[in-house]
Amino acid sequence: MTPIDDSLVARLAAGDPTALAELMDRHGPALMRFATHFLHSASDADEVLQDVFLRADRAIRKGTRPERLDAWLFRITVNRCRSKVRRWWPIISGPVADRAIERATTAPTDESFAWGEEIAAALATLSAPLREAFLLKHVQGLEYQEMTIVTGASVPALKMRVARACEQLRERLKEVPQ
Amino acid sequence: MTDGIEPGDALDRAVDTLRQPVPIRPGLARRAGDRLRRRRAARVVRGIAVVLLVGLIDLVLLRRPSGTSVTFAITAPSVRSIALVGDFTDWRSDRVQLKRTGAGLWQATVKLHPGRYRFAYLVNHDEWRADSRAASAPDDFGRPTSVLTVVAN
Repeated sequence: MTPIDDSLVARLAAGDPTALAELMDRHGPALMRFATHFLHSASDADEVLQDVFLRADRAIRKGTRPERLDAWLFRITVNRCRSKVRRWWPIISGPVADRAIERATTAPTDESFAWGEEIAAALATLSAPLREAFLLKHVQGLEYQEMTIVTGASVPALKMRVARACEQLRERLKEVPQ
Repeated sequence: MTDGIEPGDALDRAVDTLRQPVPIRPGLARRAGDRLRRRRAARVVRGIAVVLLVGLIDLVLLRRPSGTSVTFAITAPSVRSIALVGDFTDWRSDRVQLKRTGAGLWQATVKLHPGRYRFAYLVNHDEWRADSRAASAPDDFGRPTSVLTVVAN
């Protein structure tokens, strides 16, 4: 753990009221990016983050001392996101998925489409395990070994998920005008 | 199948886009604090609800009829002790002892809910006697026992 994280954990454990906000400033952005892309919803991601930091704060006050604060926070985030999604299969409802299905079945004619929307729509068609693995590997930049800590899955399983996610995304994005 | 992302391809551009920072609405710590307070309040409300529910159940149980008083009596002038045994004592002889009330009469009063009970008297810890004023029904071991039916008031 970095000295800054060490100090943050020590301050949280001691009940320093400013430490939680600092923890959020330091680790919030990475967690927010993952949660937003995973859940396709900024408000859901915001709720997850509140929950994650409250749980982390409580755990540290109760004596938990994570070996690596960032990986530990990611693990809590991944678990909270999984709970939100609840089911391990592709999301087949909601506006994002509707758009994804529509685009998958009709040729795009609107030239002013938003690239970000297309990516979100393509991500929404992935199953939750594939989306999770892809985001952790290629967007968050975690090593496979770190991903095993965060997800609880084995390295071979994670490699397979990332490869499948890339393959499926590549296929979906092929249909998007560049 | 490969997870290699070719520089410049659509997936590479997608990853670049996804790596852009996602803004956090200001006041996350405050919102988290509010959430915590709401949760604590909800926990208190749940706790109160549980206490009220338990109290209600207690009240219902306490108001349940406590049973009908039934007095068991037997005349036995020259015995040392008489215990009442039956379904309602699990046939244990240490639950209800009859008391001598004079002139060889022994009595004990117990509260019983409506139902049909078998019972007997255990005299001097070893002699099994039925109640001569009640219907008889020998138990599974052939000992004399009596039958009592308590009806609801």
